[in-house]
Amino acid sequence: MSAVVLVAAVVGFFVSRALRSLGETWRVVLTCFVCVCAITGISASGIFPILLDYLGVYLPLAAANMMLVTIIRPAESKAFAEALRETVFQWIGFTLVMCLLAVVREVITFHTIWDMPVSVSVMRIGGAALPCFGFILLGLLAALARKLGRIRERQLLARGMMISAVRREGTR
Amino acid sequence: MNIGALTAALSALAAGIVLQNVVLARALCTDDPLHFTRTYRGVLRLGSATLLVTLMATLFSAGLRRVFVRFSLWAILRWPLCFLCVAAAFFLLKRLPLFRVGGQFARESEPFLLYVAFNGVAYAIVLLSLTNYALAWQAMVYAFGCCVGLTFAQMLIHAGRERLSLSLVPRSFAGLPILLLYIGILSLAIYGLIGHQLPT
Repeated sequence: MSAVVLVAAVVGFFVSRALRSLGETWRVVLTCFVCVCAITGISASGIFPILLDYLGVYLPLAAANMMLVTIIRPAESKAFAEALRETVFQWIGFTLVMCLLAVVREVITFHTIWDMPVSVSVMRIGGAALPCFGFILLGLLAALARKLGRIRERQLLARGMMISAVRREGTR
Repeated sequence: MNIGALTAALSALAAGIVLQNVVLARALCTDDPLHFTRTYRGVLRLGSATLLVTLMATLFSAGLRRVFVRFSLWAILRWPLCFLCVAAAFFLLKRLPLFRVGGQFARESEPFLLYVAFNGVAYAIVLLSLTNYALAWQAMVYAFGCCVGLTFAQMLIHAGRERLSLSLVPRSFAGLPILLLYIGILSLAIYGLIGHQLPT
C-alpha cells in the first residue's frame, strides 16, 4: 500500500507540476487519471503480482485518494524543492502512521509482527482486525498525539519563560 | 418485473445501504466531509451530489462494460475507464443547467461535486457496483443504495457530533479523537446489527 501511494505521490507531483498552467479542476482530474493509469500499468505488468491479490479494488482507490489532492496544492504554488520535500514528508508520515496502526493491530490480533511471532503480555483480541477497531485506535492515537503536543508546548513555554527571566536578571 | 428480479433489486439496494455506507467503507468519506457537513442540510447536499455523480458514472461504466467486456483488455483497462466515467459524469453535471435552475438547494450542492467525484467515494461505488453486479440496472440500484447509506451514515455521525460537542470530554479527546472513537463504536454496532459475529 505504501509503495502504491509512493508511486501515486511521485507521479502526481510531477504531473501536477507539469500542468500548473491549467485550473485546479483539470489538474486534479488529469493527475488522478495518470496515477490510476500508472498503477494499472504496474499491476498489469506483473512486477508485484501479490499486490493485486492483497489490495484488489483498493489498488486504484489508493492511487486516486485524497492525499493526492493535498499533494497537488503545494505543487502549484511552492518552489520545486520545497514542494517535493513536502510531498516526501507527507508520504513518510502516511507510511509511519499506517505501519504503526498495522503493527499495533497485528500484535493485538495475532501476537505477531509482519508474521513473526512475538511474546507480548497483552490480551489477544480477534476483533482488532476489523475496520471499526482501526477507527478506535486512530482516535486513541490522535488523543495521545494531542496530549504529547500539549506537554511539549508547555515545556517550550516554560523554557522560554526561564530564558526571559534569566535575561531580565542579567539586565538588572 | 418478476419476483426474482425484484428480490435481486432489493438485495442490491440493501447491500448498498447497509454494507457500503460511510462507516464501513474504510473511512473513504471521513476526512474533509466532516468539515463540510456541519448541518443536516450540508449532509443532504453531499448525499445528493454523490447520488448524481455516482448514478451517472455507473450508467456510463455499465455501457462501456457492455461494449468492451468481450475484449481481454477490459480486465486491465476497467480501472482507468471507470475513472474516466466518473470524470465525464462530473463535467457533464457541471455543464448541465440542473444546478442553476434547481433552486437554492441545488445551487448550494454544486461545490460538493468536485469533492465527491475525486475523493474516492464515487469511484469506489462505481468499481464495487461493476465488480459485484453483472447487470446494469442492478449496478445502478446498488449505487443508489450506497449513496442512501452514505447519507444515513453521515447523518448518524453528524447527530453524534452534535451530542459530543455538548458533552464534557477530556481536552485531549475533544474534537476529532472522540469523533473517531464514536465512529468506531458505531461501526461495531452496525457490524453486529447486520448479523456478523466478532472473530475469536
